[in-house]
Amino acid sequence: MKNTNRREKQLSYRYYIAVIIISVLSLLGLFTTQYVLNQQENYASIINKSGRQRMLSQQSTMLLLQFSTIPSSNQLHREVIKERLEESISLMEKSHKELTTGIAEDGSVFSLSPEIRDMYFAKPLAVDTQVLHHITTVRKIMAEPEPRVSAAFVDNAIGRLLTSLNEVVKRYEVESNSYSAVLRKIEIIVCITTLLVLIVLVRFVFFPLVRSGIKNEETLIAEQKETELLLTQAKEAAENASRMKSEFLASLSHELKTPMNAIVGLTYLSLETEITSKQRDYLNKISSSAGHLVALIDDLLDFSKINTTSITLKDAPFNMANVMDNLASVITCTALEKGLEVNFNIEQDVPFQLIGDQQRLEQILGHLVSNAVKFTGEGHVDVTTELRDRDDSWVRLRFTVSDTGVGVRGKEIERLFLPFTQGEESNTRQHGGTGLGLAICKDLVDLMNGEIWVEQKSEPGATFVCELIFSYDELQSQAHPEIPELEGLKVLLVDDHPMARTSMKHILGSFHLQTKDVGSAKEALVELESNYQKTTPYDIVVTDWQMPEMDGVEAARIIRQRPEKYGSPVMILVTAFSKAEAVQQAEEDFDGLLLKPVSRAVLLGTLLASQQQKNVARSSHSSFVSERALPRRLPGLDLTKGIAQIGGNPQIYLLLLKKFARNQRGQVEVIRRENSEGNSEALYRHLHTLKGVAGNICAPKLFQLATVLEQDFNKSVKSDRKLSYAKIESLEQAMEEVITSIHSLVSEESGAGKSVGVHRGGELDPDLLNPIIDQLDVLLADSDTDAEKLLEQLAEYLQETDLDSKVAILQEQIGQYEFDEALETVQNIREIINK
Amino acid sequence: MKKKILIIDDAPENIDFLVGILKEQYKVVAARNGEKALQLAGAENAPDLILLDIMLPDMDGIEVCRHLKSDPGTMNIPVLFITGKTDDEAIQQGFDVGGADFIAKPFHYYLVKNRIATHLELKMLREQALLEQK
Repeated sequence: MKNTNRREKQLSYRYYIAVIIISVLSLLGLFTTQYVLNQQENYASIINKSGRQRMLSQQSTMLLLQFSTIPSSNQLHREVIKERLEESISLMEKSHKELTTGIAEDGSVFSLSPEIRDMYFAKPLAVDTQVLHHITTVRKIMAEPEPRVSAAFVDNAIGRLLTSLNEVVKRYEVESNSYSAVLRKIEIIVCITTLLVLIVLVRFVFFPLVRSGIKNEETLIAEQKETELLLTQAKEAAENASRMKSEFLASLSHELKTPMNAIVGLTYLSLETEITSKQRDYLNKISSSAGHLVALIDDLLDFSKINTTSITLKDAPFNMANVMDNLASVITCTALEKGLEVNFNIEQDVPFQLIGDQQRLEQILGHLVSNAVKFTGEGHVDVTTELRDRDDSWVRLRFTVSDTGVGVRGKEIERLFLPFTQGEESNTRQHGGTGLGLAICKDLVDLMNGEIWVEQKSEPGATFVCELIFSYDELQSQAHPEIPELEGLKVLLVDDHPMARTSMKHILGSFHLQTKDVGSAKEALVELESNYQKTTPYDIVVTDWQMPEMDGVEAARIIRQRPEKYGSPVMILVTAFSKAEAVQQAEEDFDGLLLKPVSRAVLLGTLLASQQQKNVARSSHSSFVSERALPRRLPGLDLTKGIAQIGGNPQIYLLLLKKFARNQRGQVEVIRRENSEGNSEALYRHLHTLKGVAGNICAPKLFQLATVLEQDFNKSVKSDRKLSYAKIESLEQAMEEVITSIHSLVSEESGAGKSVGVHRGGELDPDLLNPIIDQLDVLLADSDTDAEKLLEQLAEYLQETDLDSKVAILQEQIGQYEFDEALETVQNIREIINK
Repeated sequence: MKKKILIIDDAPENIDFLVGILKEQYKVVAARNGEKALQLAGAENAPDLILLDIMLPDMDGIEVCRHLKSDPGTMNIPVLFITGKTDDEAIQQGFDVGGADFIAKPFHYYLVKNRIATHLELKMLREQALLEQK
C-alpha cells in the first residue's frame, strides 16, 4: 500500500514536469516560427528595395535622356518629365538611405552583413558612392537651362551602376536564403526535440500513468468482487442461521409438546383424584398455564413452519358453514366468559362447497377472531363471509372480522403484521399472547395468494379484512338438503342486533325454514298475536336475551302466560351469557338454550331436540325414561329435568353426577374458608362455579342457596364481603344431600366389593405372599399396567419389613414401566420370602 | 373380557396419563422402546390395539409400525400414532406404513377414548365380516 502511494506520488510529479516541458517546447516552437516568418518578411522587403534601386537607376537615366532632348519650347512636356524624374530620384535617394543605414522607413531596424557593408562602402564596388554620384549628376543636369547628357554618364549609369546594384541584390538573396536555411534547421530541431520529449514523456509518464490507472481500476474491480463475495457469504450465513433457527424452533416445539402433554394429562388425572381445595386450586392454575403454553408452542410451531416454508397447501373440498361452526366452537368459551356477542354470517351467494385448504383458512380466521375477542371488552364481534368475484371455477371471498374493542391506530397498523408485535405494548401486557398471530395470518394469506389488511374506521374497534381465492365445484355446490323433521316449520327470529339477525337468518334459511325476523320483543309479540289470530301460528321462536325495552326472558314469560293469545311455540333462548345464569333463566319458559356464537350444527341439534321433546310431550311420554329406570327424583336432585337438560342421555347425566360428587364435595369447605379469610374474589368465583354446576345437574335446592349467597355477596359492601355462616351451613347440608343421593345412585350402579385386608405384621408368610408374587409375575411378564395396583397390595403386606427397600425399588421400576427389571426384582423378593 | 391395549412411549409420564384414562375400560400393557413393543405385540395374547409414539429411543415409531404390519401375526392390530410430530410429512409417513389414525399431542382424553373405541369397533366389524365370508 505504501509502495503504491509513493509510486503514485512519483508519477504525479513526472506528470507535472511533463506538462511544463511540453508547454515550454510549444512556446519555443511558436516563437521560432514567428521569428523565421518575421525575418523572411524583412529580407523580402530589403531584396525588394534593392531591386527597385536597380529599376530606378535605369528609369532615371532614361528620363534624363528624354528630358535633355525636349526642346525648351515644349515647356509643358519638359515639366512633366522633370517631375517624374524628380520623383524617381527622390525615391532612389530614400531607399538608398534605408539600405545603407539599416533603418527602415517604418522605424524597424535590420542589420547589414559585413559583405553588404563592404559592397556599399568599400572598393571595388563602393555602391554608395556610385548611387550618390548618380543622384547628384541627375540633379545637376536637370538644373541646367539646356541639359546635356554625356555618353560617359549614360554608360556609367546603364553599365556600372546597374551591375553593382545587381550584385547587391544577389548578395541579399544569398544571405536571405542562407538565413532561412539556418532558421529552418532550428525549427526542425525544435520539432524533433519536441517529438523526442513527447516520446520520453509517453514512455515514462503517460504510459505508467495509464498502466497505474488500469491497475487501479483492476484493483478496484477485484476489491469490489471480493466485497461482493464477502457479502454473499455473509448473506448465505445469515440465511442459514435463520433457517437453522427456524428448524431448531420447529424441532424444539415438537420436543416441548411431549412434556406438555404429560403436564396437561397428569394435571387432569390429578384433578380427578381426591385432593384438598388448595391442591385443586394449584392444579387448576397449572392446567390453565399449561393451556397457554400449548397455544404458544402451537403459534411458534406454525410460525417456524411457515418460515422454513415446509407448509404445503391442501386442495380438498370443504364446507364454509363447517369452517364457521368450528370457529364458533373454539371461540365460544372465551366469548362467553367476557359476555361478548359473536356473530358468524355467510352471505347466501357464497358457494356451499369450496375447494382449498380448510385447515389454513380456519387458522387465519381463528387468529383474527380470537384477536378480536381478546381485544374487545364489551360489545360484539362480527364475522362475515361475502362473495367478491367469481368465475366458472373459482370464487374470491372476502372475510371481515370487525369488533367493538380497543381498535388500532394509524402508526400501529404498519407494525401489526410483523412478528412479535402487538398494537400497543400495554396491550401485550394486558391481553397476553405471543404477537405471532397476525404475522402467521399474513404469511398464510401470502402463501394462499390472498390479501389481508386493516380497515380504518371512525367508530371504535378494528376491522380486519382478508380476501382469498378458492376453487369450487358447481355440481357439488348445491343447496343444503332438506331436513324432514323440520319441514314446514315457521320460525320467528327476535334480535336487536342486525348482524346477529342476518347470520341466524342465513343459518335458518339453510334448513329451509320459513323465517321472519323482528328487531324487538314488542314487535315479536305483535307478530305472534296477529299470526295466531290468522291461524298461521309460529312453531318456533328464537329470541335473543338482552334487548332494549323488553328482554327475551320477559317476552317469553308473557307468551307462556297467554297461550290463548300468542299460541305455544317452541321457545329457544340465545345468549352470550355464561351457561349457569342462562340455564336458570331458560329453565322455566324456554325449550332450548343457544350460546352465542351460534353454530349451524348446534342450532340444528337444538331445533331437532326441541321438536322431539315437543312430540314426546304431546304423547305425554317422558323422553328420558332410561333402560336403567332411574328414579325421577332423589333428595336434592331433579333427575328428570337434569337428564332432559343434557339431551336425554342418562349415562352422560350419571357421569356428570359422578364428576360433580368428585369435584364439588369440598367446594363448600373452600367457600367457608375463603369467606373467613376475606378472599372476596376467590369466594365469588367458587360460589359462582358451584351455582353453575348445581344448575347443570339440576340440584334445585343447592342452586337456590348458591344463588341467594351470590346475591348476598353482590349486595354487600366492598370493604366487608362476609357471608352469613348460617347460610353457608345450609349450603353444606344441601351439598351433603346431593352427594348422598349421587352416591346412592353410583353404588347401585357399581356394586363393588371391598377387598379383604390381611396384615401379618413383621413376619413374612410365603403362603400369603406367594400367590400375589405369582400374579405379579404374570402381569409383569405381560407388561400389564395393572401390576401397579397389585404392587400396592404387596407393599401393604411388606410394610415395615426388611423388604421395604426392595418394594420401593419395585415401585420405581413399575412406575417407570421398566417391567423386565421389575421382573428381576420380584424374583429377588420371592427368593427372600421363600428362604 | 376387557380389550387389551398396548401403549408404546418413551416418556413414562405420557404412559401414566394414557393408563389413567384407559385402565377402567381396558387391559393396558406398556413398553418404553420399540424392541419390547414388538415382543409384546407378537406375544400369544396379542393386544387389540396399539398406541404408538413416533419418537422412541431404539427405533422410531414408523419403523415399529412397519415391522408390525409386515408380520402376519400382528398386521391386523390397528396402530394409532400418538405424537407431538404433527407435520404433514410425519402424518403421511404414519399412514404409509399402515397406521390407522393419528392423534396429536397434547390431546384431550375424550379424543383418545373415542378414537380407540371407534377403531376397536371397526376391527371387530372387520373380523365379523371376515368370519361371515368364510
